[in-house]
Amino acid sequence: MANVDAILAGVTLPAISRYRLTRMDRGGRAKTASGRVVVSIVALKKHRFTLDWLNLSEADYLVIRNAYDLSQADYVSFRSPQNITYTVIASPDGEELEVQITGWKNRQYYTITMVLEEQ
Amino acid sequence: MATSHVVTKRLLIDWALSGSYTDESTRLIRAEGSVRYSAPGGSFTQPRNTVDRMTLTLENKDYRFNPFNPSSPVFQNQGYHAPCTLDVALNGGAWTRIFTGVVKTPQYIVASADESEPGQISLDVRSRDELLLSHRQSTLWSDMAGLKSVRATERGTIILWLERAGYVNGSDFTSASMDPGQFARPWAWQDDESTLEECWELAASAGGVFYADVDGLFRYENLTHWLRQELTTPTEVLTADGYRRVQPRFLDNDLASEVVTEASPRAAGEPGVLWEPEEPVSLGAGESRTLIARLRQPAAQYLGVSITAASAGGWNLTAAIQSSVTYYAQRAEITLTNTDTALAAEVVVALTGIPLVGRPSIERRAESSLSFWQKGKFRPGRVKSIRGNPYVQTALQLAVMTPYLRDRLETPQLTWAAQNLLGNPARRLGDYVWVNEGQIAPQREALLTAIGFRLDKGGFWQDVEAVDITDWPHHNFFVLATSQVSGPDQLFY
Repeated sequence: MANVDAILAGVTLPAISRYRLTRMDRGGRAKTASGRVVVSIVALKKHRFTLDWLNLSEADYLVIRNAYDLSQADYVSFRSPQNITYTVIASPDGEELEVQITGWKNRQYYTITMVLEEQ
Repeated sequence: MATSHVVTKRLLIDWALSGSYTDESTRLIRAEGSVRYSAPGGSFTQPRNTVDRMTLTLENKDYRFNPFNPSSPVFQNQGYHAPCTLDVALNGGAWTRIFTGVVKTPQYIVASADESEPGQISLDVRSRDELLLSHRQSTLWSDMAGLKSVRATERGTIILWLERAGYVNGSDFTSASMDPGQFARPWAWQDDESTLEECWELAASAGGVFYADVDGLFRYENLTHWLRQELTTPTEVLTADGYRRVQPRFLDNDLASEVVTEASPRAAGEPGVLWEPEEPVSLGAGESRTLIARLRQPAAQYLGVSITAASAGGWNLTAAIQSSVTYYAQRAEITLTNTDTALAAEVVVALTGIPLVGRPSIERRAESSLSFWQKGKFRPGRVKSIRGNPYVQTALQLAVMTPYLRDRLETPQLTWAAQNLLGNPARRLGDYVWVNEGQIAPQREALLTAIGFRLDKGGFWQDVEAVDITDWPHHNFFVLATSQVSGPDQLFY
């Protein structure tokens, strides 16, 4: 599905199985006593990315883990599969790098989800 | 009424207390705080105010604020009392300040088994009142006498005390931030007391308030300050479209059918010895010593220091003892120097002068005539006694404050608390607003007395409290050279 290989913090990521992108104003909403919705926006039109990989090898998992480690403590560069570069941070709301490991015939397969958010 | 806004924040901290601010905006995770003051006249019953506070949560994953890192701005608490400002801009507009203060000690959130967000630092920030709270001051006698000679009001006295504490007219306060004083007070002094607490009491003795505002300016607002703004157009109308909840509260804390106030005028007493040390002083050859003479009352006038001295063998050394004295209102610092080559074994010192004496001797009462209180044993009267403020010294103060408070306190005080308003950094204490909640009451008039705020990734929101002034007299006052005596205009107490 990817047009180009995604690159996170200088690390070229394995081919992404599923890529979700959301774009919205960041802030809070509240309903007033009359039922009206009011919105306080702290950042306009920010992107949030959810990257899924299915059934990767352990070597690919280690590549992703390395990229995650580099991008969770500070903002880094991210080239998306659509070949657009953003500045992002991993796990913006404390999400974990989600890894599921399954096995078949003495082999292990890694299914991974990572969340990134634009600065 | 705005449905949405875009918030930009700016947090500046002068970590080195050098006048050079560091922009910490990108590290700001959350700011939460509140500012509040007394309703007009309310200070008279409760002079003690509170120092406003704000709590900042800053990102610290890189340990920039590690207290054990020599390059950290908080290393060895170097950032204690660092000046700090928080501004907000809406929709790309101009910056508007929502808090000015000084940083207290930081609190750290480090990794622990049950902590989900390690790597943050929490800063307790207090308004600039904090600096004055810990500043202790003793008034020079010449200052006290000078204030008396010009019949200084609370305004002039507060300004002098601020200047003596090192604050500057034009930057720390301005002519506009200091309302005219309302009562000339014969005597005002401090004796090793907190400048802030004394300014609070002094302001309260006229029904006014003294505080550091969100812009960092010290302000004195007198009893009539709220009447100096245009009371026909509100700064905003609080409606159900703007808040999540509004709550009218009828407070009976100070409810009273009768108000009793007292004043303590002061006058010069009989001349005599104001102070002498408990034991004779001895001074070695060439020795200097400073004695602190703490007086029971302030001195209306100092007459001088008398000194006699003798050597161990009984020789008169009085001429060899030099003295210099710094006279404060209620203490004197006497420095003695023995210029002789012999020990002055017994130096007798006496500070003479005229004490300033006074006691509560003027009392005024004002009783409610409302039918509200005519319910016999089922609603016995409540007396509100207001005593003990040393700056209430004249009958004129009581003549104004007593009926004013009677009218304020004879029915439960109505206040409005509105929660979760879309943040507006321009809101200020004392703003004239309308409350139009549309269900239980017709439109009401009120003054903002408290503003709380939260600023984080969930946006900028405020809670407000406002005292209801609908039934207070605040329109059609008598204007000199304009109103007619026979006309409908009224006098303000």
